[in-house]
Amino acid sequence: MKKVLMILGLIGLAAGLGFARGQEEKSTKPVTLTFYHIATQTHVLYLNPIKEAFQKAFPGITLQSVEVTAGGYEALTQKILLGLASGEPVDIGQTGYDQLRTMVQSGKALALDPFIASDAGFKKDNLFPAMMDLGRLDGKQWMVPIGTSTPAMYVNMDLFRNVGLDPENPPKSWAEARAAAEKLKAAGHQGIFWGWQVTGNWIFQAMLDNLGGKLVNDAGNQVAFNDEKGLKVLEHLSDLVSNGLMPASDQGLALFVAGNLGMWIDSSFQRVNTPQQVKFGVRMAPIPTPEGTVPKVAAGGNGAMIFSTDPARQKAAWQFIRWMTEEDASRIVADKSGYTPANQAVIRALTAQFASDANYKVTLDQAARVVPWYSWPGKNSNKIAKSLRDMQEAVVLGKKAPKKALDEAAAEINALLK
Amino acid sequence: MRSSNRGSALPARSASRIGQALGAYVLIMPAFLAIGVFVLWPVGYSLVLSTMEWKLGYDAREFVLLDNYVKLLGSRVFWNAALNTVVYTVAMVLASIALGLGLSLAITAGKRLQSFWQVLFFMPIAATMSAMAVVWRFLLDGNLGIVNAMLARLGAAPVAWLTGDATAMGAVIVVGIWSNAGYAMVFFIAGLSNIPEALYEAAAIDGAGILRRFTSITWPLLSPSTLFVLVIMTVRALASFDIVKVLTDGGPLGATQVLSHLLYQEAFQFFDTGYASAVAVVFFLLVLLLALLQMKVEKWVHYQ
Repeated sequence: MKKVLMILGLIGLAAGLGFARGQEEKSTKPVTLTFYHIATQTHVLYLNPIKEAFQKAFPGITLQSVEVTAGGYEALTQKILLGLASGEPVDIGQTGYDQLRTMVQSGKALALDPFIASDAGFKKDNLFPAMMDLGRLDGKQWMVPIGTSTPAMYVNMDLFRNVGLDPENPPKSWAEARAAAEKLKAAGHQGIFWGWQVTGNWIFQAMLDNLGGKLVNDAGNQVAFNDEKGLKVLEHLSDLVSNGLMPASDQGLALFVAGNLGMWIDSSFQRVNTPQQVKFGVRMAPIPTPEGTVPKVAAGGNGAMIFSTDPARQKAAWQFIRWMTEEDASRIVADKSGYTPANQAVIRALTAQFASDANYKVTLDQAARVVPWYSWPGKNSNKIAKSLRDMQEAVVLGKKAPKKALDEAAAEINALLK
Repeated sequence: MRSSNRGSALPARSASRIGQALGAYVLIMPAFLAIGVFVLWPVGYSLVLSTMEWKLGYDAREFVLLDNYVKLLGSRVFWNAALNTVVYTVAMVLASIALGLGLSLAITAGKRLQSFWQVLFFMPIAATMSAMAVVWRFLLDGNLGIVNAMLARLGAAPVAWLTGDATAMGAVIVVGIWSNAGYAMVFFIAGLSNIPEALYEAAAIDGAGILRRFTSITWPLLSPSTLFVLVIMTVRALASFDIVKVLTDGGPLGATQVLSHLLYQEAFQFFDTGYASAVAVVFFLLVLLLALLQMKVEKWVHYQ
């Protein structure tokens, strides 16, 4: 009888252990999360190492990627919204800052505030407030930045030296840049290219910001760029193109890489990629401003958002987002791309480490003082961005006078804002 | 005897007829299901979506009945795209057919290297169009393109191929012809090989010249091929989205905007699903109309 009891006891113990183990497994049950992200040649340079490192740090969470290889942030948003519409699981989505409002208004994104409040491990104070603000809308935090870029100027050092310009001291004001472009043109080169086509509104916003102009009024229901400041931006572009100082093109990168363009204004994201592609020296500098002041820079780049509906998956997705803000991931972003992560400690360390790297310095200096990239409200956000792009294209190609292009775009966008 | 026979045979016969009919339905069922799921259902669903205002991915959907169509028919962008679609389709189809026919006649006239020429001109079809369009994009680029570099060598001024209104449409049409003429050629070569040699011999004996032989024998007897090629080319022209997307993205300022690209833009760039569905429905009706027109043409075709 004793034996029987003992056996029963052992069985009970074993069962209990088994049960306990079962419980334990339940709490760290392997989860597979779908991660929607951009996968162009330059974006996988940092995203692939990030996925690998995360996998190592969290063996219980498998990331399944859905990759978008062309079409930029709009295509990525489309893919995520399509996935959500067709009932496929979307857990984490990389999202461009300019697409934030579209995502939030879709009603499918998850506000992160409850996680931030309850997770003591999330060091919010260690993240740049200006960058965290890029993921805020209507008083809630929806997105945590992955990487932030700013508009920057790339100078072809060889061409500058050839025409007697100092590449270590690039033009600071629009007038200086114009004069440098004149010199380059006189020597048979192309002067300057403002990357107006980058998303169609980012560089325009940067030019406008630095004149003290605004895209929209404070209520967000009426455009504000159709004043003398907006006109000045378009007139400047028109002046450069019509005088042969800026190529009438939308292929900034190709023009610069071809080696005959002196100054190119695009995203600081190109810091790592572009110099590797070219045979000449590249110096990065802040973008020229109307009066040569330190430029205001609109934040480009992207962050991560959660779209999971199941609490267990939401929890796992938060683990990923939190990890993205920590040192390992931030280091990868900073090393493998031209983006700046939001982690202040990492930026401080990088600033010290790369003090002698003039190009890196521009990126890091600018990252701390970004202003938001305007995210258009309502259902027509991408249509509005296209209107702004068309407005600049019309001016750059000389198809419309600046004033006409400005007024037509303003009327079109006002109608779309209603 | 007879009547009793009939009495007993009839139900059996009708039963077997029903069985036969059932069998037939069972046999066509898989095809019908496939067409239903992949063709009829999407078409029907587009029709439903076109009466809604729905931004892709949003929870809120609202029935707006014909609002999208009213907006569409009042839109300058839509009419511009419709006109461009007609210009592109007519130019591309006619030129591809003419060139395809010319190529097939030239290739079959020569006895040597026939398959070499066939492969050469068919190659653009085998290539991925979007990749080829990228190549064309850089050949024709106003600042970096090889075409302008060659013009400069010859002392000519550079041309803004892809940023001028007329040249951009011209470029899209030329690339369209480049990618389709070889396709037309293959069908014409097949058609030519079906024309009995005896007809040409008889015509030669009667003293018919090259032109007469073409107008009286080749062209009429090629009419089934021509109709087929016409249909295929029209469908390809209406669907050639990749060329426009890569080469000009509908630009400059809508100069090469065609309906298929407008549809894409509204649906996948602006996420305006309801409006895009309305474009799709109008586009579908246009294609249907063309198909009906082409069936009318069929009475001029000589199958024998």
